[in-house]
Amino acid sequence: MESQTKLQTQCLHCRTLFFAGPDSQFCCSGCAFVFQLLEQKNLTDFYKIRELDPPQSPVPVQPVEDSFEYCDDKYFLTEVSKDARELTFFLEGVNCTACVWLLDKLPEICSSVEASTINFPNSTIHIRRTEAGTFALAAETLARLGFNPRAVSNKNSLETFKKTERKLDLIRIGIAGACTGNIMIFAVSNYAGATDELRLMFNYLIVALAFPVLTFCAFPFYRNAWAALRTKNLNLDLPIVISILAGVVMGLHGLITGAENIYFDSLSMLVFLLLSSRFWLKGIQQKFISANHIQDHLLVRQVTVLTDKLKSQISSMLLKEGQLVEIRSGMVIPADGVVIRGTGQIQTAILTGESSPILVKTWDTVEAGTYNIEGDWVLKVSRPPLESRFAELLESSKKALLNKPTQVKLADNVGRWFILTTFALALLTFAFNASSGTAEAFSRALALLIVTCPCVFGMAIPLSISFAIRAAAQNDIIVKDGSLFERLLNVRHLFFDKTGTLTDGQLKVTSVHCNPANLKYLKYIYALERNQKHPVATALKQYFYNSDEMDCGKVQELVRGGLQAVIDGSTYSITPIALTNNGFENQIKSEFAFSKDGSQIAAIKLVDQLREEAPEVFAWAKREKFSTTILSGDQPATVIQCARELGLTSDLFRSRLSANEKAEIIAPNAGTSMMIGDGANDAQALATAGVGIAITGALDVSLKAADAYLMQPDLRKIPRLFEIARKTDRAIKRNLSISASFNLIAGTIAISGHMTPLWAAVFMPLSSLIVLASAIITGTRLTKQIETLKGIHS
Amino acid sequence: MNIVYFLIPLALLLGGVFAVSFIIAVVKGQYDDLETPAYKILINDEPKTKMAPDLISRKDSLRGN
Amino acid sequence: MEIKNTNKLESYSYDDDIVKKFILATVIWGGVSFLAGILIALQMANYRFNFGLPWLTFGRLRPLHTNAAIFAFAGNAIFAGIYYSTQRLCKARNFSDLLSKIHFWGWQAIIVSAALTLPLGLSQSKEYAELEWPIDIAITLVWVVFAINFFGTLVRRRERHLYVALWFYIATIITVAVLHIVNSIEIPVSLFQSYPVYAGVQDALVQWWYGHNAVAFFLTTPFLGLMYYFIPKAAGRPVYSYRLSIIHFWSLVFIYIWAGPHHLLYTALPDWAQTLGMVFSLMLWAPSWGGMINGLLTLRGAWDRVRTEPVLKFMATSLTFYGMATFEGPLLSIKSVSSIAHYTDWIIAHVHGGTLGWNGFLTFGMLYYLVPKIFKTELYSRRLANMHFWISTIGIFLYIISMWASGITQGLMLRAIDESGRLVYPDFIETVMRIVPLYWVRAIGGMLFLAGFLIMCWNLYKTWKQAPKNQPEEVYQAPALEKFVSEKTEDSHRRLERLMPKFTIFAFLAIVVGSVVEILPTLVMHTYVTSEKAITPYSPLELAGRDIYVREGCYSCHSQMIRTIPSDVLRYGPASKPEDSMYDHPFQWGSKRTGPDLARIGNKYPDLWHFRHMLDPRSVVPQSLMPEYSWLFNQKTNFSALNKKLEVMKQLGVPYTNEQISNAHLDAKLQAEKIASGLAADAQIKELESREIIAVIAYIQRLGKN
Repeated sequence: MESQTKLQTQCLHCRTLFFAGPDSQFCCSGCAFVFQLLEQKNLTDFYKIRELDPPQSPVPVQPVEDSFEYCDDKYFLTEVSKDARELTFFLEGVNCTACVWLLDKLPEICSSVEASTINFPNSTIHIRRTEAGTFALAAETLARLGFNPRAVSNKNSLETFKKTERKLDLIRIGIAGACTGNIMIFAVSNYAGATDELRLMFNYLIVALAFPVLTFCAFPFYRNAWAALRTKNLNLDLPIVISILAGVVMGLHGLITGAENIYFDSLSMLVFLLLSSRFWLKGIQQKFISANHIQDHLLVRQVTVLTDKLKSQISSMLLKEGQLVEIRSGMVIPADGVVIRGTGQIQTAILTGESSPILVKTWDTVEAGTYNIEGDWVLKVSRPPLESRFAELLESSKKALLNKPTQVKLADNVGRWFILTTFALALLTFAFNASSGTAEAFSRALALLIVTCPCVFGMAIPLSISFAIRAAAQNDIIVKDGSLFERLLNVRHLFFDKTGTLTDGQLKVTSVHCNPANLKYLKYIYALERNQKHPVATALKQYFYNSDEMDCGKVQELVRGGLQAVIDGSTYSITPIALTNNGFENQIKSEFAFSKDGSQIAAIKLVDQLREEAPEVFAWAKREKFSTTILSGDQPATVIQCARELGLTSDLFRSRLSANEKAEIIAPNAGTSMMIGDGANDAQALATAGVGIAITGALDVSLKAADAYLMQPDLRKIPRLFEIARKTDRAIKRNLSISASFNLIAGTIAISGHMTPLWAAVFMPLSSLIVLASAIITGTRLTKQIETLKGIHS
Repeated sequence: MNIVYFLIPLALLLGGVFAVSFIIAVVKGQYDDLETPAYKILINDEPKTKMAPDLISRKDSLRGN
Repeated sequence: MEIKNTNKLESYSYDDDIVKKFILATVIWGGVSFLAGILIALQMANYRFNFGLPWLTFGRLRPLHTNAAIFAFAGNAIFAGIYYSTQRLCKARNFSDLLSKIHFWGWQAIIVSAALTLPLGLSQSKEYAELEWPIDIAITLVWVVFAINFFGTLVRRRERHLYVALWFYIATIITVAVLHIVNSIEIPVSLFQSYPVYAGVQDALVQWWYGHNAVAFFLTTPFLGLMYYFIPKAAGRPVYSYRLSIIHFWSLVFIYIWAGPHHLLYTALPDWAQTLGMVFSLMLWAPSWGGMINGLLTLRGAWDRVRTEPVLKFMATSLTFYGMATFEGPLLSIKSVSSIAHYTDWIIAHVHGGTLGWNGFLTFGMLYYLVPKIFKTELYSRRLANMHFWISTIGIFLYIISMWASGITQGLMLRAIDESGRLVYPDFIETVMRIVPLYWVRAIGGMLFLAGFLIMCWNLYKTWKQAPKNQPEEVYQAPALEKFVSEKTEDSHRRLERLMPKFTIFAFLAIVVGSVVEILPTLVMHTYVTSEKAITPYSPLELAGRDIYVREGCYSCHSQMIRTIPSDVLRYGPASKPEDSMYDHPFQWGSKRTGPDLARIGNKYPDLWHFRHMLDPRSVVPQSLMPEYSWLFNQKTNFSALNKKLEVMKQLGVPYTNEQISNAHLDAKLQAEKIASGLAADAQIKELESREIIAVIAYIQRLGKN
């Protein structure tokens, strides 16, 4: 590393190390541009300021080619903004004081901007344009400064909802805190033995102050508990609510009978502490959710709409059913629809898992999110972007992330059990001590209820899990369900699909059998394949590449597969050599004949290469004592070959399997097995296995069957997933034992009546805080570690 | 100790005042963003004389490059 | 949510002139208070430093020192800092330059009048609130002016978000106003004298509720605000956690108000109130340290600069002292600790750790940052600044350590009881002799601190001199707030926004009105002690003597509160009860015992002893530190004023009969003659009975005799 850095120089703008020529000071043109910009505007203080508090991870400026005309579109604005003069952009690469400082200068830098609001944590900027100005210019400026801007709606209902909810939570906490603080004054005075008439006054004051806390502030608990009751199951708010209600009853009783303790002080303290810790937790979880925020903008593009002979530029967000959109090559298709003019080749992997490009022609239907590799054509919108299947898919997977983390089987079961025992114990305590006065008995029972806080189940475990999910997300692993991490621990057997899983699905030419005399003809292969896109063609083109432009008239596709063309008189064809074609799997044909005028002059063999990281992963599996098996639908030859490369003995691979055969093999010890395979073809197997991981294939299909989806096919993510699972498990176990021992001790003290509800209320959050702290610490460390790992690998 | 009959309401009053101002602050969105302000105050506002000219001219931006 | 400069800008400029004024005042009054401090420190070490002059005696200068330090030095510093930072945080000029000027000159006038009246003995004897009623009113008015000016600026701000510092300022302004008003409710007897409406234990509670919160909201919250502004600015990095700073603020605000009674542990104050004070003081520890850590962590990664940059050096150290003081405070408010520390120099050490270390050093750091900034130049000399830092730091440590030693030594000696249950050191003076050397050390510490301060003055003066002359006032630009409504604020909220300034004013009025309404009962309720316990009120002469006692500030060395702890009871007699001081307007419990407690001094010694003791303390107690009060022997008691005084006392609920009131002066003369006759043989003074000394003796001999 050291020696390398010596060779490298630091980019003047973005501070990334790069291999510089003698004169170049910038890692890229983008950085150079921004630097010049700042210089000419004498804003070079930017660099001074940045030195005071430099960003951790330097990022080079990505020059953005997008055009931002759509930002000024009237309809677009009405869609996304309350006010046609204001627009919010999501920015990339806002990471230090200097950036804030620079964005602060925006109105000076860009005449179109009248005022702007930066939100650093959300890395958004809210812009108000001048009468004459345009958002396009503003966006352009931002892009030039290297913060690739994306217009986002600022009337997104979810966002505003979240904001108001947060405000409400804060207010609840504030009121609870203020009241509890003042209640303390009187409670302490009374505990310290204030005299009779004062004592009475203090008691009434306490009740008065506790009222808002136990009604308005505690409302969320009531709501949740009620919801739990309606759905006939236990949740963590139930014991809380019960102890509150019980406390209120006894408290009032005590107030009237002038008993020692009226419980309102401890109750409002309890409410305050619970509210605060939950607010904190929510904050952490939402931070994680907003991480994949960027997905939303995938479809937001500028598109050209054709309306009788004239073109207009609008944002894809505004596409309406029936509109005609111009699709150029290298563009993400913004909406579901039909091709009505022209042809093209589209890459549908993200939806169908099909890696080879598909040819589309007039009246073919295409879907949003797919990628147009080649060809200009016209799309007739049938479903606008936000209603497209792709959008729904993103939404659902996001929902999966949002909802799942809190449902952890272990936690729920133990939690349920725990709550029940606490209740039982509390009742027993009450029953036993009833003889020594209801007040005493109750105070013990209540102390027990309060002190034995189920916080660890309610917060710590979900927190650990959401940290795990976050760590996974950082590795482009979309986890469907938090419980995955629990199940991972039982896994002993790893089952791998071959094609596209162990192999990268990319064909390579491995051998060419050709009579030396005929070598001269091979150059025509390139000519034949030049305009073809599918993997075979790519492989062939790669292998037989030659520059000389020869025109082979018209290339025609043969019915039985392959291509044919007439070149200076004679007919050349490339045709698959028919192998025993098992109908199990639409596996890639791997041998081809190159014929001149019908007679074969060369046999070309292509092989789907093993992924480079595969051996490494298998080595790891060996170390970890996992049994590894290959389940492939491919023919024995290829499978054996692949197994050999991975050093597997004969019993550890099976070939020519149908989808349900794979499932059957896994079934006997499904619980302990993990299937890694193609989301589409191995769906059954993935579903059967205790843990299914889709490495290729369509996101939605995969997530239906599998528990996790690898956004980039890289087997190394599997060891990492295991690592995350183990670390998380350790954290959870530790937390469980902490709170178990705490509750045991505190519980006994409470039952034995050596703890007043007030002290219980003081101790309870103590345990919660310890547990939460340990969860947070391990969690953050986990995510950090993973990040660094990621750094090394990719 | 009659004095407490005076001091306590006073304390409560003060507490109330601060509680209410807290609520108002929250409602106003004062606490929506609890990071940017810390950075904001570091920015010294320089005296302004004339408006700086445009960073990229209108046409320039249309051409995209 | 913050607003940026726009293409449609409002132009504005900052009023730094007022900041300069307050800085100058800070420096001048700082010098005065430090000098006064050193003088009274020397008076502790050797009585001769009282110079036998009435207006230079410890009893009169001590209030001058405290007031100068708190309200003149710290006060002006706060105003300078607030006016500087508020304008910048609000991107707006002060609401009104006129109000700023009134605020400045008004405040200086108040300080000057304090500096004149206190040495003349015009004092209410309530610590940090000694100033007489006309000045109290002036303070209230000036404070209101300040409030209007400040909130006006907030209303006009061009920055939507109120930075946390501003919140600390708001809390300061509102709370100090309430505290001051409540604690200064008094009834004038003459232009220069008044009696507080509260008496004895109630007065004590109010006083220390005020006293503690004066520390909390005059020496803590505003400085925390300054800290949250100037440390990030000086370090050039954002505060470590803005969230934490918000939490810090709100938790402080909700806890602080009730820690006061920790000044009254083991006194006649009801137990529950004492415990309350103790518990809340302990709770205070958490937010305080939260704030300190937040401040220190702000300097993370800048420690190299802390080593070189005087500004950061001072600020970092001040934070450390803040941490120290806020740890020591709760510790001291634990009953058992307090029983040793209270009334001793440990408290002095604690206080000066806070004021010299936290307030002083933060102020110095701020000045070193502000002066070059405001005069658009560089600091004249970093070397001098660093010198200042080291000299002052050594000074502070000499001070604190010597006072710890002294406090703990004396505390332990005073409570030492042998197995036979008798005091080991029955004579108070023994304990004093033991600590006199430490008083010298303390004085030296103070001088070092002053020396450092003078270096700073020179340094700042040179900086000012080297500044470019006649700089034009710079014009800045920012959009008006309403012009640009960020998407965060829904319409319903905007109404609230407009309401905000109004609200604060209403709230303030509500407090004032509320308080007035609530005072009425306390004015009419006299009987907090059940009638059978009730004692006979002071005779007119005793009252006259008491006023002299107050005038000479005897309470600053002699307590009148025997605590419920054995050593106190053994030494001074039965523990004081509420009724003992039920007619004391103001209470004289005191907070420090440089001399013995006087709660039950009456008839302990003959009149003659007191006569000689006042004339020359050394003649009866050779090692005594007490100044001579020779002037009491020629000044005449003002008998004619007594009727009015009794009348006022009656209004305040002291049961004087009407004819008692009408015969007050005669009554007094009679008693005076009786005492005088007893002394005539030894004292060759004509009209002895009309001299103040007689009244004083009358009062002293009455103490504890109910």
